[in-house]
Amino acid sequence: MHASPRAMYGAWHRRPTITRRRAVHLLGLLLALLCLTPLPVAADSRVSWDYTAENSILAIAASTDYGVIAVAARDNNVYVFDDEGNLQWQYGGRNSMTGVDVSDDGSLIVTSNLDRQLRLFTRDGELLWEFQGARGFIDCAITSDGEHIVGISYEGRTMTMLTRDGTELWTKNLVMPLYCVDIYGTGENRRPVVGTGDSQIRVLNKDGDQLLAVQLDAYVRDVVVSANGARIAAALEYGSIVYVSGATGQVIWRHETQRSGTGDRSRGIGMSADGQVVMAGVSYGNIFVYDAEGNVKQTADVSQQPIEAILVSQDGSLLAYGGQDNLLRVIDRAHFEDLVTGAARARRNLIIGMGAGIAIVIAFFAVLFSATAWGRHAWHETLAPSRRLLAAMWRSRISYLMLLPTFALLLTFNYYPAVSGLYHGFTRWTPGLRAQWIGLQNYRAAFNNEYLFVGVKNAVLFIVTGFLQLLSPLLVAELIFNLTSPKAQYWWRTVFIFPMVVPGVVSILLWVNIYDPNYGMLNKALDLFNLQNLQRVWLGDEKIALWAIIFMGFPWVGALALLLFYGGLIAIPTELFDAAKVDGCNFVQRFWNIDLPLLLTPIKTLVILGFIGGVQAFGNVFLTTGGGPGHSTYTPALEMYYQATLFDRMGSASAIGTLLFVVILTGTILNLKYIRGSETEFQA
Amino acid sequence: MATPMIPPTTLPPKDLVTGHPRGGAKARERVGQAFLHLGLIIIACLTLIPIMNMLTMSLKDNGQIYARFWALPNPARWQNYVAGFRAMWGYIVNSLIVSVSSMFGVVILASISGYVFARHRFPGRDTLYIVVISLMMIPGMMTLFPSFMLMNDFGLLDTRWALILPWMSGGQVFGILICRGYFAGLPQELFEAARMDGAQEVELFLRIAVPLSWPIMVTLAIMNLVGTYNDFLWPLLTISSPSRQVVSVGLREFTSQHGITDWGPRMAAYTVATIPLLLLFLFGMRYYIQGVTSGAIKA
Repeated sequence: MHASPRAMYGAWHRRPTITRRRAVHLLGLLLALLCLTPLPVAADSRVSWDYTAENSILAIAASTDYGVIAVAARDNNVYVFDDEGNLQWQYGGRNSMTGVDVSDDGSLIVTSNLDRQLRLFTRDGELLWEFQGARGFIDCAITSDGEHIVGISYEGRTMTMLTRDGTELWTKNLVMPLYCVDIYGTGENRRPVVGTGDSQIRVLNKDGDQLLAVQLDAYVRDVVVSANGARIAAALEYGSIVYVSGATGQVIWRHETQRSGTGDRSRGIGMSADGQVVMAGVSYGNIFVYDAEGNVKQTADVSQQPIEAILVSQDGSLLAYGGQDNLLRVIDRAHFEDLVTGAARARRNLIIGMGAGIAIVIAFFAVLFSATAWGRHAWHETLAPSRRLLAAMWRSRISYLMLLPTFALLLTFNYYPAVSGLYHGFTRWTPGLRAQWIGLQNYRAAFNNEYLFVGVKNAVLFIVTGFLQLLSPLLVAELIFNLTSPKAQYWWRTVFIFPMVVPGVVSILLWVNIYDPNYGMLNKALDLFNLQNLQRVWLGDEKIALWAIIFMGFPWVGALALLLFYGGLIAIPTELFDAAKVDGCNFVQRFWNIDLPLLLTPIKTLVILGFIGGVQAFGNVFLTTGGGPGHSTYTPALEMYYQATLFDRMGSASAIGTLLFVVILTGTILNLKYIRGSETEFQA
Repeated sequence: MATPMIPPTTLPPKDLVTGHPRGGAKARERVGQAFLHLGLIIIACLTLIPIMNMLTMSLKDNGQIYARFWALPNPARWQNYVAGFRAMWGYIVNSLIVSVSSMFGVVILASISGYVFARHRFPGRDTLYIVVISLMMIPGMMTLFPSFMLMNDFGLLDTRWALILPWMSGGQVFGILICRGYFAGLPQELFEAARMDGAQEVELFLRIAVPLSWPIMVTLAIMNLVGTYNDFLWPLLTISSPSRQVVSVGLREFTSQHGITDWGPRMAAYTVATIPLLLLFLFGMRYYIQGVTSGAIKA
């Protein structure tokens, strides 16, 4: 054993140690070294100018002299700059601004918006008119003289042409989803060029009749046409850039931008007016610049995020690009190369810096604990409990070993997804691409989401009716419990457990059948009683669909609930019942004063399960109405599912999931606090 | 029971030997019991309506259903079942493979971990236990898409492992909860005696704890099998090829496949999909009921 601490301390003093002052000097030296490590160097900014929007840049357009540069972004705004990057004005719509185009002289700017509007502005930002379409517009174009405007809708599959003063000339349904549009020529010779979902580039005439269709092998994400229509360049979904003759439709060259084995996509394309310079942006953040023969003149990795919009000035000397990193950049083509090296160098420096920092921290602590008197004292005294703990843990290593498989699985398949869900609620996240931090935007969007609000109301209804539906198993449990013959009890228990063999999906689908207007039992029963006027399309009627779903499962005798209640009842000591009989209780009194209080544990369990289930209600709505008709039967979980699968917005879905979690957590805590289980003692 | 008000000082007359009520009380009790049975019959009939509907419709064709809905099938079209069976068989096999595998995993893991949490003492035991149990509060919805992405990153999408592993991991949480409760209730003396005879930790587990916990394991196994058999959303997301799809999603595929709704074969398919659970219940229902009513499941 040791001598007294004092003596120990004194012994240390006798050894050559580093005094406190020297320790401070040493620390200072280490810190200085840290400062010297190469810090990330900002990218050389010989760009002309940038601008950061609040969400992805979706489209860029400019006048011939680059004096008016218009940008459409997913943050619902369109921004207009002059050639030096000064923001002239901006306009906010109610949904993403998907497309923008500028007449050659810069006097007119047209924007397309997912809130179903096409808008025309003057150069100074005065709104000339708004055109309301049936569905959201995904792109727009204006002829070089500004006389005609065309807008396309992805959902509606329509193209609309208007004149400069806002008169709609025609709206044509083109059958296939439409992705992008450009227009060349003027007056009678105006020709819209559209990229479609059946992998075609189509050239139409002024009335919307098809002149030319070029069949490609992937759908056309973005398209641009030269001023005289001789050349069309397009970015295809699965990674190719194609350059096509506008007269014959023949593919002159194509370039594969897809890296092998990946889901890379080409996103944005731009071309100079004479078709000599083509520039494309892809989903992995690169830009390619080609000449008219298809040779890659320049390429640069400019971003981690997809590049969505490209603009090449009419003479090909100025480039602009923007993408999902919200950054709009306008650069001189000559300075293009500098961007590459800057970014790579920055990344390398960051890694070196971090590594050096970590090494220095470790070295610092090593020196502290071994060389200084104070450090050694801390190691032996203050950290002793921790070291004892580690020793105890080592002794119990077999326990930890036995728990290892469990925790390995839990960490991988339960904890990591939970944390990931929490994190990604703050990002914009599309599968295959890196997530991008956008803060509380998803949550803000969720609070503005009308579907979600309907969903919340419906979820509350589901929860409340779910609680009420617990009365059925309670009733049945009481009925069975009060039977005197044990054989009868056993038999009836079996009968009511039996429906559990029907898989959940089957029972939902059976109810879909019962509600079927022509073959379903409900309408047929009404027929039988000559109540035809009560017949409905049960799941198709907006007002009653929700109630039809709630009614499903009638008479709601759930097997688990039944067994829990029954188990609770048989656990009540018979002395209580005998005492009640002596006191002259009738059934109702007995039920209220004895059964219910002592059933609080199963009730609490079922309330929690019902609450969690109700908040997450998905299956019964998804399999019956899918949220319709309209949005009367939406639930939050359904909205979450659609956000992720239909709209590819997994970040937004994660945010909704986190909100559901918070709700469930709150509910569970309240439940545990305020509904006391029946472990409390009862006075006989 | 509709027992009338009894004066405070007398008990209902009972035969001291058999315990049955005597005199008029017996008749009253019989009436009361009759009411109980009547109530139960009514509710049971209501509950079984959809199932009866399914069975009768499965043997009809559309014409019979439309015209003579309430009559029994005549003639009974057994060929509906051939179609239903052919449609469902592959899905059922997949479901069984996946559910049974995950069930084994859950039972093994939950019993080991439940035992360790119940009977071992080690630093952080209570904290770790709370950490495990708190996972039950995370809604499936929140982890749904991140789990999907995780499967994607592992390259396990569209494989059976994508179903088995998360089901095992999720199911063991509840399993640990009830196993721990059960193992904690086992008497200490048994283990002491065995330890004195020189048994090792692992032996204690295998030779004493496991045989005694048979009922709870079966309950857990059944709950797990039923739960995974019914799981719809997760297989919908992760499995895309029909050859590996499970019953719950397969039913929906089958339902939305045909152009003209042919209800007879559809109902037959539903019935066929019910058969595995039916067999399971015939064999295991007793244990399930025993397990749940014994109070093992508490909030």
